[in-house]
Amino acid sequence: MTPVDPADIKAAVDAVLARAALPVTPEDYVRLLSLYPALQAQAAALRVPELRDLEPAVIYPARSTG
Amino acid sequence: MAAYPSTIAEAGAALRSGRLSAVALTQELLGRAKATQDSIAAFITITEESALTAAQVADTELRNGTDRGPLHGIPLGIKDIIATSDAPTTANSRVLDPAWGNRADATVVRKLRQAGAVVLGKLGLHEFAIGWPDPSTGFRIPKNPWDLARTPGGSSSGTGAAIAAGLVLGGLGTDTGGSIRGPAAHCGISGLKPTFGRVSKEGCVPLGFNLDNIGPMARTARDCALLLQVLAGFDPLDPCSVREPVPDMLATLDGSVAGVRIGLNKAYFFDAPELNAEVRQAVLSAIDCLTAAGANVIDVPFPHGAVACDAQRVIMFSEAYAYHERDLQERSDQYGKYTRQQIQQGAFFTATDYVQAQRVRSLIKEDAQRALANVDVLITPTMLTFAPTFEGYDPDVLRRQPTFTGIWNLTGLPAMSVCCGFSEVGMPIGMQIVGRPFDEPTVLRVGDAYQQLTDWHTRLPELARAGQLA
Repeated sequence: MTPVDPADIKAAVDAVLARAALPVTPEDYVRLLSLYPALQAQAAALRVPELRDLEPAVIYPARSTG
Repeated sequence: MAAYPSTIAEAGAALRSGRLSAVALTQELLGRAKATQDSIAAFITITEESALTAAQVADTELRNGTDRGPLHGIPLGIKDIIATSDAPTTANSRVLDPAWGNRADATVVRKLRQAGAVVLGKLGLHEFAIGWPDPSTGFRIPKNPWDLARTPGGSSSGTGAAIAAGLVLGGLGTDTGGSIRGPAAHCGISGLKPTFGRVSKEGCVPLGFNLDNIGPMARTARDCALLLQVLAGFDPLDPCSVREPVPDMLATLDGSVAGVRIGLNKAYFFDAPELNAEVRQAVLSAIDCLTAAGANVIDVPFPHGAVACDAQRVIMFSEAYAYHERDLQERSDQYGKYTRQQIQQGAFFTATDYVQAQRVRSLIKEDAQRALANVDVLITPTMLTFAPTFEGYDPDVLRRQPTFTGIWNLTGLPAMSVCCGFSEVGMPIGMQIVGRPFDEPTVLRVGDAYQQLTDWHTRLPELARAGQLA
């Protein structure tokens, strides 16, 4: 669930920034608070039912192609 | 101005006929480049000395019967995120370690030089190929030659501006979500994002490892074909490079689209409320033009366009954040505001989000295969609108809008923008042509045929027409 309460959003943003050890300016911080619900919605939108049997499109060639 | 060719093909003919020397052409374009640094500001570094040396070598070789091919003696520019041996690489940033660029040419630059090209210098860009120009970074901000109050698009802004203004005849851009095709559309030129893996990205500062491409930008589709012919090919130094045969990129350029099947998905690409009405009409008129010349239009499904945009952004921001993590932790104040704010978003996606985005990528790849199953190309508008003004523009608006370009970075398919008209205020409009994997020849065929049917690509900005550049 995406938090909608400003206090919850602030707590979530603070937690991400602390974990990432990411310093931000006051302007950046305000922007991230306003952006956070949209970022969460963007991530939630990826959970479409059609993915059920799909593998990620990441291929690691064990043998060098060179 | 009129005495000098504006395309690679024309210049090649002039050089071989003896009507023009590489040195004279290089000197003319260097003069234009230097004269416009305070207005268009396309270059970060002009490599005058090495360019003139290369042009002298090109002339000597031609006189002695050595012809390296269609790029011999042709002045080009390189986006300043790709390494060159004769100039620093900045990525338009105070953050990139100068030592990074203290190396040999990137594979693509080496190939261009081996083909006889003359590199005039390093072209401007959005910082690290993302964000929006920030004057505080200390670098010049490239302007759109069609209207200096407007952006040339990004992130290959300098390459787009330089070609439109006639400062170079072609150049290299990079494209992670549309950074070749956007500036091509906004500047009225042609720009091709090749199939992922077709062109080596060794020697390029990464943005999104899984989405990055280096590709050609030039006035015409034919010139893009000439450039791609040299750029394409397997490179063991790039782990994403694909060992795929390189076809003759010009063999299909016969001016015909008879029988070509064009796929159209109106629901996502033409009925988006954010799509400018003039852009929509220009692209539909271009499709009518191709249809009148013998192409067939077929409606195709494309059901997951919106989630494709989400997936492209999650992957791009996550990968960009991974690359920039330490610098953002230790000296974030040295980034321009807009680049820093864009990349910060990557910290907010989880590992699971990233994997889900890569699974969506599989889904979109299947959608694209279905859409292209019974057609040769798809056509969409390149951008939602024509170039916006610098003043009053909110870079965050892009995050809230659909993209018609990033989808093809997700699928890896080749996609090219060509000019298909102008807005009422005189700004260029781009049409995007998308092809099957490694089928750049068909994409180029459609773009070239369209340019033989129309003259949009021959129009020059007033700034260039009036001879104010020299």
